[in-house]
Amino acid sequence: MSDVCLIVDANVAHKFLLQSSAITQWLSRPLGNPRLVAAGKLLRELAANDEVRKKLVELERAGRLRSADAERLHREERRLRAAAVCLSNDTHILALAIVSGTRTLATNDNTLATDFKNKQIIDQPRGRIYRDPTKHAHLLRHTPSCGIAR
Amino acid sequence: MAVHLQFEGIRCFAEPQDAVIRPITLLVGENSSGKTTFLALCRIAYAIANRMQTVPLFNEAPFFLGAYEQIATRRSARKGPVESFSVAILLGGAVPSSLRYEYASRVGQPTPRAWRLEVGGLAIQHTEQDGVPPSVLMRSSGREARFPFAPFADGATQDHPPALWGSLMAPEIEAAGGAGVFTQSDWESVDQALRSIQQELRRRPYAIAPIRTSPLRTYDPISAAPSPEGSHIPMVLASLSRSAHQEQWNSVRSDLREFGSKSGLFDEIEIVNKGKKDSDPFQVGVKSGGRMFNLIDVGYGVSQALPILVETLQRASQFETFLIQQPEVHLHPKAQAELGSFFANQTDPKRRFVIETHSDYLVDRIRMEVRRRLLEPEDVSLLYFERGKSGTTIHNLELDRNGTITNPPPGFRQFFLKEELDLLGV
Repeated sequence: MSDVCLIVDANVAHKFLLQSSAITQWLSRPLGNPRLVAAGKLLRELAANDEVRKKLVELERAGRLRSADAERLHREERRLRAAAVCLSNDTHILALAIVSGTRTLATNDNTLATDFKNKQIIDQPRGRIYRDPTKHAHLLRHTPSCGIAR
Repeated sequence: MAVHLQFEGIRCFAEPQDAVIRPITLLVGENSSGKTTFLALCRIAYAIANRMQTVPLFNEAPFFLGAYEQIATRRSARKGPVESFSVAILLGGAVPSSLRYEYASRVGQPTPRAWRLEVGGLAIQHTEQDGVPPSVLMRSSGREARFPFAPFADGATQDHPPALWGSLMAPEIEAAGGAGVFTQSDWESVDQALRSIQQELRRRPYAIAPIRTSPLRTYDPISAAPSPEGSHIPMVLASLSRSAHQEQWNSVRSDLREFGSKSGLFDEIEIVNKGKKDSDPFQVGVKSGGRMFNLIDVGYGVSQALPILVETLQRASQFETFLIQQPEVHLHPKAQAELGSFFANQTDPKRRFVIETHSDYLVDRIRMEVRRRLLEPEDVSLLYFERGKSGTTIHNLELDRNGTITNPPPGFRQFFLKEELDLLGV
């Protein structure tokens, strides 16, 4: 069974990782192969919140937090900046999606969402955005969206 | 070379298991999931590879598995234990080889009734069951022969381990019915496989019990005979400190100092002689915060950690497999984590550590040492013992270069994840 990956933007981490929802249940229950993907700057942003940090540690110990190679991440960020195709200043998240193969992003940031769905930036398959943690767990279970670019 | 321990029908392991042994092997899982049995099996594997097939193997301190009735998996209350159980060593590589022993009950004790050596497509098996003449089975690329063979009239399988069955015995085996099955090259492969298995398992097991001995205020220099509980450790320290050759003592003391400092456990360990003669009593001094205390007057963690630290350090030059139960007992998380680094630093080609632990901090630190490149992912085997309705299953968890577990089974750490959700009230 392939891994199912999700990136959670720091601005919705509380909502997606700490509040009761289908997403939090999905991440913690023994069904499927859920993976939260976080590395580099995003990981530092998420870990700035004490409660989120504890959650990350527990997911990491359980093998459910996936990281990415730091050098590849930096290289991809530089490439995105040089290409000047991004509207948002969250190139670190877009680079993480490309490097890890993750195609599902939880965010409330409309500019980032636009970039994430931009075929020129994220493609094969296209990126999808989750905004409401109560709604999407069933979709995650059936979306093998990780490992494409590992 | 990857070493696999395979077994079946032993205690809670009803189904076939395949566990990878590496320089550091960590055993994690709930209580009564078979971790200690696995440590005992590591010692049995060593004995199998080194021709030491004797019944007490199953009952040597600190691992007492009992008689056949207690060791063999129980099928049900009515049916009793399984008829036989097996332990095998498998070496990976271009041409995998394995040596498998099968045990049955004889006078209530587990006794080898067959062994089987396989290398590539070759197999040779010797069987000796009660009431049936001993026989040999040979197989090689389409050729096969089974024939009675009892080269040692007075003995049983356990007295004639496969190490004796290489090319030296080829003439007798072939004369008894095995002619034409193996070529000369096949016999050489058999010899090579036996040598490789012995070579990989040449590290003598040294077991350290989960509860180490209580400290005393004063010790008499009586005996330094090793015990799993570490009661001999003060004497080992005294002997080292009184030795005419101070290099080893200085080295051990320096490494202890480094661990003590990083873990926050102590600054220094000293031997305080209570007389001028070697036969005079002595005390173990623990320097902490600039003051010297008696071992008995400092936290229990020091006396619990010392046997692990001292044994590992003083045996640094030997081929050894350390079988360690819960090294973290009585230690603060800081010291538990530092133990992880200690083991990572102590790993070398001559030694293996098989560690049963409930400490997340110890496991985390070893994974961090993979990320820091002190260890390679292939240096660490993380074995997760999962209890199920039909017994325990061992999962071989792999690490990537970040020390991240790449293949967690669905149930891995479910308790912790659920507990965390409950704590958050979500």
